[in-house]
Amino acid sequence: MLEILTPMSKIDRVSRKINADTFSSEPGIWGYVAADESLVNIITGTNKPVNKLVMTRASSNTYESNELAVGRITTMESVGIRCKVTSELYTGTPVQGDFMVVSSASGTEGRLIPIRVSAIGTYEVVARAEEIHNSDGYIVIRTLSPYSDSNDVSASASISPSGSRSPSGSRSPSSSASASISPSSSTSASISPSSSTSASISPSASTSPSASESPSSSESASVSPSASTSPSASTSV
Amino acid sequence: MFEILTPMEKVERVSRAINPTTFVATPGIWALLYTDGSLRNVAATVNNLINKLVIGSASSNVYESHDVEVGRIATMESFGIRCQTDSQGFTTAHGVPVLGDQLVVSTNAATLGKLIPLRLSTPGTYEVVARVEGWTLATSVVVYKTLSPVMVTNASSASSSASPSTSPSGSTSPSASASA
Repeated sequence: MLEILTPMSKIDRVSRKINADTFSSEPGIWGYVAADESLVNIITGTNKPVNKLVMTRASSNTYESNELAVGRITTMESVGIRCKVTSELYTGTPVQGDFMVVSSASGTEGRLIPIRVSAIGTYEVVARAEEIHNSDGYIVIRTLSPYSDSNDVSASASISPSGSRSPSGSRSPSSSASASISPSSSTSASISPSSSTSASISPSASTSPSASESPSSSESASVSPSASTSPSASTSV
Repeated sequence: MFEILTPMEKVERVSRAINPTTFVATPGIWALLYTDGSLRNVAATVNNLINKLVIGSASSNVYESHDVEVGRIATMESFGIRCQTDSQGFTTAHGVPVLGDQLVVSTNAATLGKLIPLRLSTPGTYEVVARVEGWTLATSVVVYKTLSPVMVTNASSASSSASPSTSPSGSTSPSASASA
């Protein structure tokens, strides 16, 4: 179950093209944006640079829920939106403060997962876990201004959220995030996307041409692994 | 003094549970979010993962300012919102801000819950919640904009510097994080 807690008038709903024959829709799962800006289901083992939250389901008579039959689906694309997400839509036992990415692991494609327990790879960070209601089977997330971050071997192997994760992740935020973490005054800082995740800022990445505030197309470029991942930045401990 | 500069209809106000016998509410201070969604005052020396901006105050007859008595408090949780505050919500105890400063929530005993530039904070890992966009020395009023939060670590040498322009230990380089 997905429940958007921010008043509807404040969120950004986008109608995107989908392949009506193949797209599997469920409110609360995430799909990725293809180059033509259409939405596609997450492919197993493939992390995508731009992901969007699906709001509507397959055909029904409910308002805004029967677009699938005509090859359209509605996504929620605002940042800073609180959403209540039940357990079938996330995996990996989130804890408060976890930075969430979209899983591409087999069996959990399109679900949210804390980056610290995700499979090795580079991800788009899309949300943060703010409230944990394990007994009631849901969490409350807030969507973020997206950025790219990497998870390494030791991180994915760690199950303990509080456990340390080696700082392999180079953080190459999208423009706004980049600006926010790289103030003109050069503060010495390392970014740790969650309490347990330590990643470093990659100045070169933040100044790269791809780091511009832009629509999905260029945003895609900004979070692409090649643009954002700075191996040298990720190894020092 | 605390004032939200972005039109109110664009900001998100959240009513959160608090303990009316212990919670101290002041508009402009930041409080920590618990896993159950309730709000608590920041404790000394404990940096928290998620902080929220309190806009409700203690009891009064002002609209949305008497929530404490019923165990609720209003917070403003939108990103990208311009706010201005003076010493009520911002501390210059360790130095003055400069434009672009990343702001975190102070956990110093004397300035609990107030914003402080990361580079002037006590060494540790913080949630960056806002950024300085304006500063008036004569009035000590700072204008900031809330951000999509990130966790950032301040190295010890950074906090010891009082000069904003001299950047402490350096830059946001990978090695900086490694050393931290």
